[in-house]
Amino acid sequence: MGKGVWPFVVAGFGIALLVWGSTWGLAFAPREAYMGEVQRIMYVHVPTAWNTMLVLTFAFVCALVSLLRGGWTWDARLEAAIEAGVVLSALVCMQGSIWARPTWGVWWDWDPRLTTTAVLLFAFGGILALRQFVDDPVKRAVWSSVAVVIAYVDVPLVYFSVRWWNSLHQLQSTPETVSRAFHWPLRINAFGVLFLLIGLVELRARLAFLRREAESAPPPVRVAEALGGAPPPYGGLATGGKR
Amino acid sequence: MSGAPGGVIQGGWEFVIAAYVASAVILLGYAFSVFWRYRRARSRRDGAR
Amino acid sequence: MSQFVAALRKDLLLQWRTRSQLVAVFVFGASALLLFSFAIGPNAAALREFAGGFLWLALLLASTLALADSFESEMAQHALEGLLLLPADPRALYYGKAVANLLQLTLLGAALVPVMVVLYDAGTARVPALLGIIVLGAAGLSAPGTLYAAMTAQVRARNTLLPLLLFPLVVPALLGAVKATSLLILGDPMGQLGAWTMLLVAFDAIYWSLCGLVFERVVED
Repeated sequence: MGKGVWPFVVAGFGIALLVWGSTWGLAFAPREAYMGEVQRIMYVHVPTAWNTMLVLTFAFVCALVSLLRGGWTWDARLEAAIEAGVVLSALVCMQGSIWARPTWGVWWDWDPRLTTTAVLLFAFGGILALRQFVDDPVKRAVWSSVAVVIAYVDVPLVYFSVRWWNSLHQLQSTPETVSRAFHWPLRINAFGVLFLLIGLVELRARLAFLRREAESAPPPVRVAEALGGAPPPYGGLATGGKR
Repeated sequence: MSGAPGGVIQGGWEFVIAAYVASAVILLGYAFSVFWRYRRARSRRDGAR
Repeated sequence: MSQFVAALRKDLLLQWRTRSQLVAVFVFGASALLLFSFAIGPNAAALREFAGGFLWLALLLASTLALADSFESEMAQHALEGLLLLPADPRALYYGKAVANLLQLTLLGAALVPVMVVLYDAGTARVPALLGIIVLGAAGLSAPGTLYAAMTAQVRARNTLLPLLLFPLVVPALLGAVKATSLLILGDPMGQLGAWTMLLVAFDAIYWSLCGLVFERVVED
């Protein structure tokens, strides 16, 4: 697992981009014709939504690699990607709700994409819970990978089923097409969230890897000394093999 | 505050601010959470060595 | 193929021997249907309109009990490990268990229909179609349900984990089954039943193949 400080740099750069893009979107972008100021929510909502799907796709890739090749690095990345995906999808639902209230007068408009994100939130949140309750690390890795694959395959099914179900009620969905003048703050924020995510997923993966090491580490040599007297003849992993 | 086609939504700044603040809180909060947990795990491992 | 038949026979025999549990699960489902009706109140039109939804909710809740039960006997005395030591294809074990669960859930669903008819005044003339939808919906529940039951049977907090994992996953099957059932009860002027049936078939096809593929990894040691 990596050691450098590059995740901090990348994440910091992402935050800087977000500050720039958000300021542009809040203060300098023109008002939209029908939706007025409320349109500005799109500058955080759309980038977050894009990155949610991106990080969950990355989780799917990690799951496949973890199942086919094994190794703790990919399992650590899987855990990081799932957690980031849960946080982002919760944020998307929150933003979508805040957008829907002034626009449609309700807190939830059953938009197919938003509803699919809500289902994803619960699906991947459940997988996170699964990881908490499984003690055997190998089983934990295999089972959560299988669960991620199964949940990801479900995404198009959920989307289409909710879209058909919703179309009978003729509700308008969240606008996707944003006109030219509004592109730049959107792109900047999208890259901002992306870089922030790359840094955070790497750090979170390192954390998972450290915890995994700690799970199987032998007790420190000092404990053995305290119990028995002399340290064991071998150095053990804790002392790096030296006496 | 109607979103019907042909109408214009007046104001709504409080919702925009709410969305931006929620996003900032959650993103930065998660970033700090990862950072602190990572630091704690690192120091725990380095202390055990 | 013969391994599959043998596994299926074993699971059907197990279910027959524990049929009192199935009766208890049916009672659970029926009382759920009753309680749901209290959420609506004595409004005959509303009850009929939502009967399809409540039937499938009751079946979904009951399925978590039935699916968890299906692996109980495998966990007792390490029967699962014993089964896997046999030179049998784990996929045969999975499909045997999944088909047995499918039959059990279909039976449950069919048994809950009269309860729905009575409580919600929600009958339909198209009984074979309704039975077909129940089979398809039960298949959608039993394929991933059997896989996750195998997983969660081996961990603590299994009773919470199984529904937690299963419910978001089966949303498409639930939507399809509920819409199809409602159309059968309330009438289908625009001929949408075919589309929802296709959704169910697609969901079942995908998950019956996918879960069979990964079952071996889930139960290996």
